[in-house]
Amino acid sequence: MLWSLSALDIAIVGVALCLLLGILVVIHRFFLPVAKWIGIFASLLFIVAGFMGLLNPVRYIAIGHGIFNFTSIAFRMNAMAGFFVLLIGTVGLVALIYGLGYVKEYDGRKSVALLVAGVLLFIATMIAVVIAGNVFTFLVAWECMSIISFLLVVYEHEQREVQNAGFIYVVMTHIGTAFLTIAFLITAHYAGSFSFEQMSAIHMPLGMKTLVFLFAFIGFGTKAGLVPLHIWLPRAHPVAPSHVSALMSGVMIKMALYGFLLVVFQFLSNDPLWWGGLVAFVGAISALLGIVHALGQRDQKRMLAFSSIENMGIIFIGLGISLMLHALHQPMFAAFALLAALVHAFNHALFKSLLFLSAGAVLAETHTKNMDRLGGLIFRMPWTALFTLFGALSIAAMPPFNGFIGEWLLFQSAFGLAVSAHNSWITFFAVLLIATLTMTGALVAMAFVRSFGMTFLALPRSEDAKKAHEVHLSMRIAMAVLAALCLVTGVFSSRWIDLLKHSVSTFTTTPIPAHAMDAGFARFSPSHVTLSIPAVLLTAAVATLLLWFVMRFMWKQTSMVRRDTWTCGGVLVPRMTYTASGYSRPIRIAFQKIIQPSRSLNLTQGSFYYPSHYVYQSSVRPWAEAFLYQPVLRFVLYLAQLVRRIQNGQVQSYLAYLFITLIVVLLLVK
Amino acid sequence: MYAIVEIIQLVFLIAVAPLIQGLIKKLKAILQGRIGPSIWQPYYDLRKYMAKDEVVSIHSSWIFLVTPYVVFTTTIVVVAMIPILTTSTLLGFTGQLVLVVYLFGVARFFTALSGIDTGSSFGAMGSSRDMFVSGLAEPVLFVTLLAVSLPMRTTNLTVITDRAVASHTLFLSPPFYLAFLAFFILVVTETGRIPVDNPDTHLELTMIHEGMLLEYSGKRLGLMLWSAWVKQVVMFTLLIDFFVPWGISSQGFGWTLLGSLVVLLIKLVVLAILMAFVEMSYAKIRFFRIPRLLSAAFALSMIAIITEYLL
Repeated sequence: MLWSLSALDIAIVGVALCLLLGILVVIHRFFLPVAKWIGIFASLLFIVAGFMGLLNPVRYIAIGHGIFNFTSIAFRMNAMAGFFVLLIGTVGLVALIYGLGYVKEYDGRKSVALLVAGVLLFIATMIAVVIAGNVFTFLVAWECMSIISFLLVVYEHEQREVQNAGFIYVVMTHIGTAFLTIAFLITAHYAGSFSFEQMSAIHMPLGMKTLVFLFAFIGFGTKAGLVPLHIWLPRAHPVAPSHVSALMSGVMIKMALYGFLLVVFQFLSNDPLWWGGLVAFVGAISALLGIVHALGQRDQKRMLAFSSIENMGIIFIGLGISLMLHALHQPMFAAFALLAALVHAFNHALFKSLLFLSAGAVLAETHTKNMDRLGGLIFRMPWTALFTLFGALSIAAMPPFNGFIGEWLLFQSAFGLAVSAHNSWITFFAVLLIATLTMTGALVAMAFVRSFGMTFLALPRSEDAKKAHEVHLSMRIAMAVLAALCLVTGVFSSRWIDLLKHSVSTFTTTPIPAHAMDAGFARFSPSHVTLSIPAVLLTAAVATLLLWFVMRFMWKQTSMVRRDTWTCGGVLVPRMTYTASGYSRPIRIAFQKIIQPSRSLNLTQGSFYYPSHYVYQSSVRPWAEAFLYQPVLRFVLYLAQLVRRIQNGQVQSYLAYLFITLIVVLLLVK
Repeated sequence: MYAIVEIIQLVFLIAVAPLIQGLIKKLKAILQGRIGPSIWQPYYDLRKYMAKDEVVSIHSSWIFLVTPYVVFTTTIVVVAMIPILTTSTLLGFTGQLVLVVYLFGVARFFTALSGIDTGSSFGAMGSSRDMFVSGLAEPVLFVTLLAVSLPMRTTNLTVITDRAVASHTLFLSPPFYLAFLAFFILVVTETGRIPVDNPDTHLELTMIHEGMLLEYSGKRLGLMLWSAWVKQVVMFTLLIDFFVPWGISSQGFGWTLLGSLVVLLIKLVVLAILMAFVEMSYAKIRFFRIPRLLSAAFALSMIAIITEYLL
C-alpha cells in the first residue's frame, strides 16, 4: 500500500506526524523518547517524498475546505516543491540525529522537551510552506515557521543578547511578511483565484507587476538575509542551539528562495530586464559585504551566519542572471542559470549545516564560540576536525567538493550572460558579476582557512580548549553524513544535476536536455566546456600514486624526527600563536570603510612609563547598522515622541478624541 | 598516440620548471653585479632535499604532512590541462579556466593551513597575507582571463589557444596590449615576485609564500618548492598560450613537436629575462599598497573588455 501513496501523501503524513508529536511533547515530556525517533522517521519520509517529487513531475493537490472561500487548506507537489522537500528532509534528518546527543548540553538546565518539540514543529512548518497549494496555506505556514523559529532563537531567553536578537528577528520577519501578504493579495486579485495552480503567468498591468516584484523581493529578501535587510540574521542564527542554527541557515532561508521563485518565476513570468539586474546587483552586494563582515568576526557562529548572507547573495546572483537571460530571450541559458542557483542552494544547505553542527560540537566541548580562545582541537577532536575540513573545503568551492560545482555552474551562467548580451553594458555588468563571484570565492577561502586553522590547528589558547574531548557518537554520525554528501554530490555531480532538470522545467518552458553534464552538456553550456570531476580525481589519484612510488623507491630512504616549532630560539607558548583577529587584520584595514574597525588600548595599572596592566579592545561596527538603521531608528523614535503628545494621560482629552471621532464618523456616513 | 605527446609535454614542463627558476636567479645575480649560483642550482637543491632527513614540528597535525603531496598533485593536474607544446591536452575534455584557477586554489588552501598548523607566527602571518592577496588577485585574474576568452566565446583552453594561433590580427588590437599588461602584473603576483612578494628572503616580516614553507624540511620542502616553480612556469605558459601562441602546434609529432619545444623554450627564456629585469628595477612595495597595484591591473583588463566591445 505504501507504494501506491503519492509523494504528496507521504509528505503530508510526515508533517502530520511531526505536528502531532511536537504538540504531545509540549503537553507532556513522557512522549520525548518516542518523538525523537518518530521525528527521524518523518524526515526519512520527507526524503522519500522529495525524491518521488523530483522524479515524477506530476502535480497532486489535496484540498480541505475552510469556513470561507479563501481559507481553504490546499497542498500540492511538483518537482520544485520536491526539491525543497528533499532539502528540508535531508538537513532535518541530520539535525535530529545530531540533536540526540547535543541536547544533553542542556539537560537539567533547560527543558529539553521544548527544544525537541520546537525542532519537530519547525521542520513540519517548513515542509508545509513548500507544499502549500494556495495563498492562505502558504501564508499561515510561513507565519508559523517564523514564529516557531523565533521561539527557538529565544530558547536561552535568560541571556540579554538572546533577547535582543529575538526581538530584532521578530520585528524584521514581520516587516517581511507584511510585504509578502500584499504581494500575494495583489496577484491573487488579478488571477481571480487563490490557488497556486491557477496563478501562473498572470496577466497584469506592468506597474502592478513591478509592484508585486518589488514587494516580493523585499519580503523574501528579508527572510533570505539580503543586504540591507540582513541585520537580524547574524544576530538570530548564532544564539539559537546549534542544530537549530543549522536548520535556520541551511534550510529556512532557502524558503525565501522558494517563495521568490514561486512569485517571480511562476506568477509573474516574463519580466523586464532591470528586474534581473536589480536582483543580481543586490545579490552581488550581499555576497561581498557578507563575506567581508564574516572575516571581521571572532565569534564562530556569527561568522557562519554572515557567510550565509554571502551565500544567499550568490544564489540571488544566479536568479538575477536567470531573469536577465529570460528577458534577453535566451530560455536555454536562463534555465541553466536557474539550475546553477538551485544546485548552489542545495550545496549551501549541506555544507552550512555541517559547519554549524561542527561549531556546535566545538561549543559543547569548550563552551566558547570565540575563535581567539580555541586552537589545537584536531588532536582532541580528530573526527570533528576531519568533517569540518570537508565542510570548509566545500564552502570554499574547492574541487572535487560540491561547492565547486555550484560555483562553476554560476560562473558559466554569468559567462553565458556576457556572451549573449547584445548590449555592451550588459556584458560589462556580467563581467563585474564574475569579478564579484570570484572575489567572494577567494575571500571565503580565506575566511574558512582562518576559521578551521584557528579552531583546530596550532596550540590551544585557553584552558577550555585544552580539556576538550571528541563529541557524542550521534553528533559525529550527523556530521559524517553531511561530510559524505558534500563529497558525493561533488564527485558524482552529473547524476545529481540530472535529477534536478524537472525542477528547473517547473518554472521554465524550455526543457533541459537529458544528461545535462556529459556530452550533451557541450552543446548546452554557454561556453562549450565540459566538466568531469571523476576524471580529474582519477588523474590526481594516478599522480599521487606515482609520486608516492617515486618518493618511496627512487630516492634514498629518509627518516623523520619530531622537534619543537622554531621560534627564534624560544619555547613556543600558546600566546605566541596567531589569533583569528590577527589573521583577518589585513581585511579589517583594507575594508575599513565597510566594517569600521575600532580599537583602544587603556592603561589600567601602573604609570605611563612603567605600565603593568593594559586592556586592549577591538571591535567592528557593521556598516548597514551605522548608516541605514540608526537614522531610521532615530526617525521612528522621533515620530513616537510626536505621537506621545496626543497620549497625554488626561481622561478629558481622551473623551475629546472620542467626541471628535464620533462627529467625523457621523459626517462620513451621512 | 596523442596520449604520448600529451604526457611528454606534461613531463617536459615539470622537468623544465627548476631550470627557469635557476635562470631567473642567475640573471638577477648578474644584473646585481654578482656571479650567482649556477642555473642548475635548483636541480642540485632538489636532489639534496630528497636525500635529507626531515624535522617536523611536534605541534603540527596530519594536515602539515599531507599538504606537500596535495599541492604537488594538484599542480600536476593543472599541467595536464593547459596547452604547452600542442593544444591537445591530457585532460582537455574537462580542461578549462575555472578549474585551473580553483585547483591552484586547493593548493593555496592547504598551504595556508599548513602555515597555521605548526603554531609558528611566521607561518600564520604568511598564510594570512597570501589569502588576502589572493582575495584581491582572483577577481583580477578572472577579469583578465575574460578579456581573452570573451572574444573567443569560450573558456575552453584548447579552443582559446587554437583560435589564438590561427589569428593573425591578434597583435593589431589595443585590448591585446592592455590585457597583456594586466596579465603580466598577475603573473608577478601569482608567482610571488617583487614588487608583491620577495622570493629570496627568509625571516623577514615581508615574506608571504616563504613564510608558510618555513617549517618544512627534506622531501616535503623539496615538493613544496618544486610545485611553486611548476606553478611559475604554468603562469608563464598561460601567458604564452593567450598572447604569443605562435609555434604551438594543434597536433604535433616528430619535427613539428621538436620545433614547438624549441620555440617554447625560447619564449620561456625571454619571459624569464623579462621577469629578472622587473624584479631588478622595482623595490618590494608595502603590503597595503598591493591593492593599488592589483586595482591597476583590474582597470586595465576592464578597459580591455570595454574597448573590445565598443570599438
